Amino acid sequence: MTEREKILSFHDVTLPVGPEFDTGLETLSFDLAPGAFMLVRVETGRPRLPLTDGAGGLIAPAAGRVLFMGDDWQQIGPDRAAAHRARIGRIFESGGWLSNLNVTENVALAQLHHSKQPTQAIYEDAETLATSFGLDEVPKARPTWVPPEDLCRAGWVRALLGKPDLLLFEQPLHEVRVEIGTLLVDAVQAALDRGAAAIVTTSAADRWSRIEASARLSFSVSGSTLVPWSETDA
Amino acid sequence: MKYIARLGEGAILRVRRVCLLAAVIWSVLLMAIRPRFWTRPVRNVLARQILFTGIEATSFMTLAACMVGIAVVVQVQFWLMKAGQSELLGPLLAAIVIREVAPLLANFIVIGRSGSAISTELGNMKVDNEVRILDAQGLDPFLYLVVPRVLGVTASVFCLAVLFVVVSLTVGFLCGFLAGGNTGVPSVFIESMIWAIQPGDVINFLVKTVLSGLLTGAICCVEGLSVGAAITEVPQATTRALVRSVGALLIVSAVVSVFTYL
Repeated sequence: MTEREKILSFHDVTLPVGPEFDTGLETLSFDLAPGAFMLVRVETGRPRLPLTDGAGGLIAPAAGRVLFMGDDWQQIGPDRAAAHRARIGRIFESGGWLSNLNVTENVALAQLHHSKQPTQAIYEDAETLATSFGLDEVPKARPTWVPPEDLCRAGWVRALLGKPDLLLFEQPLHEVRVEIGTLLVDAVQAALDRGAAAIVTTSAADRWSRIEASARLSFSVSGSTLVPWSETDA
Repeated sequence: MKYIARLGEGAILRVRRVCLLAAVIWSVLLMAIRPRFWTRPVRNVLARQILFTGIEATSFMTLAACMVGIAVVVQVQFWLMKAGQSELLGPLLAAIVIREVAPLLANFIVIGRSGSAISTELGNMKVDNEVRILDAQGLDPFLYLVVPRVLGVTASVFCLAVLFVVVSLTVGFLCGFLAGGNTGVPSVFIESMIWAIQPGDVINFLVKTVLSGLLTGAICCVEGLSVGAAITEVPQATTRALVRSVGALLIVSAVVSVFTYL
């Protein structure tokens, strides 16, 4: 498989410790082809890893290369980087909401910016996804006023809107009940089936055991490295 | 030697700050003329900025224009009557209001009303990591946060200054008429003012409103986005933004007046 056919590649990547991260990551190498699923087990309450920001090209590696769709994030211009990020669906551990927009506007923001799809169609797609996650509608209030579970599900809607090629999910089931969490697991399975790849960091690895992927990588964090971990040993 | 070095450092810092502002304004103008950058969210932010900075400020601007119109007319009429030149009321009002008061006051009101809001909002967004969230979604923070705000502020300053001119001169005429001044009929008053406006006045008005608006928008955005990780930096950035915006406004106003009329 060529680099262009892979969705994401890490080549001996070292991600530095930043003010937002508790730990860096050293000499990380892996490839995610279409349909691949990578699970990173983290402890509950553990501060963020730079993994998803590194995968999305938001932080420059201290060493090594991160390739998205065959392009090295460090070698491409801001326009191409922005276009690539439009193909990434993210769930942020910190919530990741713009406080001066309501949740509906937040959910549709990236699609309205990047896609040529009519505005109404984008909002309808968002409503369809929201319904599939058990919401009556995408919340209309500002993020501060929305209950955590609904906000969490709205975050799923945002991440999956526009059928992204790469899913970068940080603790996506943190705020929701188990039965609702299965709805996201099913949605991720559907995304993998249509050829997306996914990285999920979670402290509830068992809730992702149902995922069937063309390739499955499981890691846990040990110091500043990711070590392979067998889910069957859990 | 240390004193000279410190002086030099301060000068270099100021020159760098001016260069940064020039670069920001240049980038804003370059992006503004390219249709591909005007995506739906960017247009929305521009519309909201104009609504907040321009439209919602019209009532206060109208009030200020009325008060200034009355105050200036009373002064001007008093002195013109003493000099026996009361027919010069129209042209003199036009000169004072269009050349100096309108651009200055419109910008002052925008700085106080919107400049502080912009720098506080962007500062809080920076502290809450919201700028990074935009980046993660492929939205260039400069395009989404800075471009529409700078252009919205500029358009608002210009429109508010025009509104100020119209209202203050109308109120000035009415006030002069009621006070028994030699204002003549409205058509004559308007005609005398139009004849009083020179091409230099128009350029002066345009430069003072547009350049000052661009500077106000750019300064408030730059200061807001200069906030680091601590919430306590936000009020400091806001204060800096207001002081520097007012400073830039006064400098632009003085320099443009000197170049236009000397």
